[in-house]
This record gives sequence, C-alpha cells and structure tokens, in this order.
Amino acid sequence: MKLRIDMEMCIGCRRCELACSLNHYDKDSVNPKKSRIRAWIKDEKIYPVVSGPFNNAACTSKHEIIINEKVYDGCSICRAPCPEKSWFQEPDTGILLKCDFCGEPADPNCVKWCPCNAIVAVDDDGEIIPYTLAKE
Amino acid sequence: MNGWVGKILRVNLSQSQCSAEDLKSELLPLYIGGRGLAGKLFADEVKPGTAALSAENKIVIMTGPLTGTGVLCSSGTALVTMSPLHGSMAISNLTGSFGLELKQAGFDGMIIEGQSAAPVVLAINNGQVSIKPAQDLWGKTTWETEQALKKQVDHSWKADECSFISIGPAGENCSPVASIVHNRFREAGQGGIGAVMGAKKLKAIMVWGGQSIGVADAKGLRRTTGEALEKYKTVPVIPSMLRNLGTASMVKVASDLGVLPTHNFSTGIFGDAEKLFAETLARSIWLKPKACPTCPIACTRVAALPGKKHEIIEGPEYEALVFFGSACGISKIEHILEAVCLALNLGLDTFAAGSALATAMELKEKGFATEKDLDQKLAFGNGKSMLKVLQQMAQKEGTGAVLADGAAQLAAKFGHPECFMGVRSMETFIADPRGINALGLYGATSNNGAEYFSCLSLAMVAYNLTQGLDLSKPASRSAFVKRLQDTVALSESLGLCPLILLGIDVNDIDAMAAATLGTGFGPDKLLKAGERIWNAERAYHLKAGWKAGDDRVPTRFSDEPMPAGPAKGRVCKLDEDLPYYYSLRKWDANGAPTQDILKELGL
Repeated sequence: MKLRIDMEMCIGCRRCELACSLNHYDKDSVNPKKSRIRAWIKDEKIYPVVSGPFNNAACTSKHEIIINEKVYDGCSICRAPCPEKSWFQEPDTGILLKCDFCGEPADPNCVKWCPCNAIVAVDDDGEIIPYTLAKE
Repeated sequence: MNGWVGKILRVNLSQSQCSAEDLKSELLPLYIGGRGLAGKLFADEVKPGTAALSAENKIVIMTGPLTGTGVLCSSGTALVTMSPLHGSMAISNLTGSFGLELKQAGFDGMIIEGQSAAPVVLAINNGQVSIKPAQDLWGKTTWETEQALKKQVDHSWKADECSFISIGPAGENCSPVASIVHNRFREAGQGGIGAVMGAKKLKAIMVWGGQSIGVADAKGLRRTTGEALEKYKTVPVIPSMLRNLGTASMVKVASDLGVLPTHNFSTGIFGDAEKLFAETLARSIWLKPKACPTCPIACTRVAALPGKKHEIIEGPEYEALVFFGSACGISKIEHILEAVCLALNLGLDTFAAGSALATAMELKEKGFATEKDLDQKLAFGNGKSMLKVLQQMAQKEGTGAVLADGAAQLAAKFGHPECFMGVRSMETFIADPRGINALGLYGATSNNGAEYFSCLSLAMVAYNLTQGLDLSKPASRSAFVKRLQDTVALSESLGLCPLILLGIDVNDIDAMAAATLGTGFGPDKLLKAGERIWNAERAYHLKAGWKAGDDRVPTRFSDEPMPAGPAKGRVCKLDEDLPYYYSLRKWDANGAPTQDILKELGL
C-alpha cells in the first residue's frame, strides 16, 4: 500500500497532522509538531508531505541544496527526515518521525481525516483503497 | 487536562514582566473559554469608562477549549479590549493558526496590560516568553514586520511555522479603525483593537509551540467528527459553495436578493456586480481553495495577482469585494485587490476603511462636503482616488486624516450623521437590511458590530437554514436572531468558527466537545452558556453607556424604501421586531436584562 498525495487538491487544513498525532501517543492528544505528515504552508503555497522511509537524501545537507549539480535555495518537498530542517522530529525528544501507515494492518488516519481526498491510499496497481472515518 | 491547557500568560508592558497564571476552572462551566471567558476576565479587570488608549486598558486574547483539537472548524481565538471607537467592549474572533500555536506554546490565552515606553515585540517560544525591543520595526507595515521577525528565528523552517499578529502604521497612529493582522491575510479588530496595541507600543506578537493538546477520547473524537463530516456532505449547497467559490460566493447571493450594498447603501443592486462574482474571479485570479487549520470547509482562496503571477495572495473575501467594491462603486478587481493588500499592510480594518471611503464619496456626491474638504477626485467609481485616500488614512494625512477616525465621525463632522450606515459608530451591515429584516435586527442589537462571519446569517437566510422559523413574521424572526446570536457567542467561546453552523447544530458540537473534553456540557447547557455570554456582554455595554434607544438601524433602512431591484419598495421593520426580541431575551423596555434573566443565567 502506498499513500498518494495530490498537491493541487490539498486545502492546507492540516487535519492530517491532527489525525496522525492523535493516533500515535499513549496519552490521547494532538500535536502537529509530532506528526508524520505535514501540510507545509510557505508564502501561501501548500506542500503536503509524508515523512518517508529513512534514506540517503539527495541533498548535501547544507543550507544551499545541490541536487544533480543544480543549486536550490531551499527544499520544500523533500520527504527525508532531515537533521537540517527537522520537520519530522519531535520537538522535545529529537526523535525522528517516520510514517508507519498507522500500524499493521495499515489504517492510515490521515487518509480518513482528509476532507478533500488530497491524500489517498492506493494499492500496487494504483487503485484507491478506501479509508473513511465513518467506518470507525 | 483535555482541550484547555490550564495556563494564562499575563504580560505587563509597563514593568516589562511576564507571568503564568492558572486558568480559573470555576469559570469554565459558565463561560467556557474563547469569547465568553475573555469577556468575563475583561469585565472583571477593566471598568466601564476606562479610556481605550490608556495604560489601564487591557487586551485579553483567549482560545477556546476546542481550539486546535481535532474538532471541525476549531481555529478560533477571541480578542477583547476597550474600543476607542465606541467606548465599550470590543469583541473580535480571529481564525487561523494563532490559537493553535499559542496552545502548543502552553497557554490558553493571554492578558496584556500596561503600556510600554518604547516599541516592543512579544515573543512566545514554546513556553519561554520575552519582550523584545522593536524600535526598528516601528513604522513598518504588517507584512514587512512579519518578514523581519521571521528572519530572526533561528531555523527558516521554524519561521514558517511561527504565527504572527502585528499592527501597521494605522495602529501605531492609534486610528480607531485600526486592526490587527495575522499571518498577512487575516484581520481582527472591529472596534479598533489595532489602536489599543499601538497605544501600548506593542508592535507584534509571535508564537511558536511544540506541546501537545490533550484529548479525552480519541475514538469518540474520530467517530463524532466523522459523523459531522458526513452531515456536511448532505447539507444542500452551502458548505460546497463555500469550498468551491469562497465567501465571495455571497456576492451573487446578495445581488440576486437585491441587497448588495451599493454606493454606501443607497441601493441594493450594482450594475457591475458580475465583475465581483465568485464565478468571475474563479475564471481569472483564483488558484484553489484554502482552509484555516482544522477546517474542512476551506472558505478562503489562494489567488494570483493579475499581471503578477508569482505574487500569491489569499482572498478576496466577501467584505472586501463589497466594501472596497460595490459600496464604493468600484468594479475593477485590480483596484479592489490593491485596496485589500494595502489595508492589510497598513493595519486598517477592511470593513471600516471601506465604509469610511464610501461615506466620504456619498458626502461629496450630495454636496455635503466639497472638494476643499475632501480630495477632489474622491467619488463613487474612482478606484485610484480610493487607493490614494486609503493610504493617507493610515498616516492621517490629507483627506485620509479626515477619514481616519471612521465613517461615523466623518458623517457627523459634515453635519449628516444619517450618511453613516452603521450602529453605535461601528460598521454592522454586510447586506442591505431592507431586503432582509433579520439582518436589521441582528445588527441593531449586536454586541460587536458585524460578525466577520456575517455572511453566515446572509447564507442562512438565503438558503432557508432557519430551523423552520418563518423569517417573514416578527415573532419567529426575532427567535431566529436570538438563537443565532447565542449560538455564535457559544461557538466563539468553544474556539469554533461560526461557519460551522452551516453544516451541523449544537447537538453535533456537543458530541465532539464531549469526546474532546471528557465531559459533555449537554446541548441545553451549551445554548444557555451562549445566552449567558451574550447577556454578560450586553450588561457591560449598558454600564459603559450604551442605550437601548441606540438599538436602531440607520434611518435610510427604516424610512427610505429600497429604490430598485428585487427588494424594491421594502424597508427594514425593526420597530415590529424589537418588542418580540426584548421579550424573548427577557429584557425590559429599556433593553436591559431583567433581574429574572440575570438570576436564571447566574449573572
């Protein structure tokens, strides 16, 4: 199962951030800063990003980002939990956050809470697997 | 704790000291939070008659227990202070990220008191609070201020997460129509809250927080919000209309009903209205819908400025399209957008500024003010002149200086107070009440001018979401207005945006609140709380000098029939409604809450 995001559909409501954090901690609570998905808003543009699996990020981990010899002044949509940007890092413990599809079997809460289907779950053929709150 | 965080920040600008206080839990069952609690704390600490721009005035900012939780439409934060415009409690509701961030920083709200000698910025960084000198920011626009403050944050990614409130030159100059601006495109401040911040020399507040907000029952929250979301999908028209066409969708609604404020409410139809329709903007400048945090409706837009494709803005909203648009006779969208961005930068309340401009235009048109008094080119339909005077208003220069105290003062100054189309010096009507009597009653008895969600009442009326109440009859019309006022007060006390009421009712709200907080209020207790909060505000207003005799609509609405359009020939029949309304509210003939109702509500 994969999570597929349509950036244009995202309305920046950040309900996914609430859904994720609500589903991951012993004391029921919400905390967008502890979410494994963020609807990042910069200069009125919205970039929804899920924290992906750990990997060697393509950037050089400096403030000037060089990918394939092209220089970027900031990366807005990289999924790798990044020590430079710390999007996906718990503010109190520093623990890196990684999406786990809300457990086994997968039960992606962000998909359930999204009010506009900007994020959906799809199988290997790209077919949508429905997850809704109404099924709780 | 669940929902509430449990702490309030007290900031004393005279002594440059900050301290944290416990939230008074005994007040919560009665006043809940947000608007209700802010009003209660304000009333306890600031006596009626306190001068708005003095050090004795305080600004109370308060989130609701549901702010920032998983409940729908829960980004509300209330602001209460003494108004320099009308001399009593100014009440405002701000939606956006500020409330969320404040709670994540560890505070339900804050009380700002005293006055700083020099300009300062209040910085709240996850529980650490500091008052920083900000002389270099004084004079800057709100957008420049946010930009400059973002650069001071140690991580650029964190700077984007920070939430800001700031004032512009209008607030610094203590204009009674100055607003506060949040994250560039949101405003609060009907009643001149910006001026109060300016008098305190508080240039901006910035917040960042990383703490969690407690939820009592995650499973219950998921179930109840899921059910509420399903309900939204079944409600005809409104939620989807707001998602697809924004608050601007109300322009066509108002136009079709013949109540679109045109030329300072001289009539309800505007020849070029189509240029302001959401449908038109959707084809030209809009990119996509955008929502406040937590909200599934997404009633605002992301738009690209014409000819400046890289410059992305939010909006424009209904009020801007009307009060910089049809009310001023302007149909060129470029002028309206420029006016909106200018007003936001300068920290001028869109509604009040537009109203002042429209009033000035009418005074000139009727010859009550001459070219010597007001800029020679200022006239209905002249966008360039409108922009010029708007700029001047913030600096109190030229013609702008005459308008800077607001439309009511302006009309009075030229001896024609009947040209001011509001109530108690405040802009109040977002549509012409001659075509919709309920709006007349709501406005005449409002505790805080126009709710910025007043397109809520317009939408409810236009689409008959009146819970079976017949708005053509004074008795049921009065019942509708009372209930709506109480529910709006209740929603803003819980930390909800009142637009939530377009899709769900108090029962649904209570269910979500119970899951979040662990204890339900019960729908009846919630409605009672709304009524209590409304009455508490009214009681304070009356002590501050408001009179029931001022529960009026401008005489144009009551005495001059609508000249044209679908509402032609109609007047606002407020006099028919008031007796029923006072009776339902259990107020006396002087519009004051009786001992009976005060006792019933525990006041």
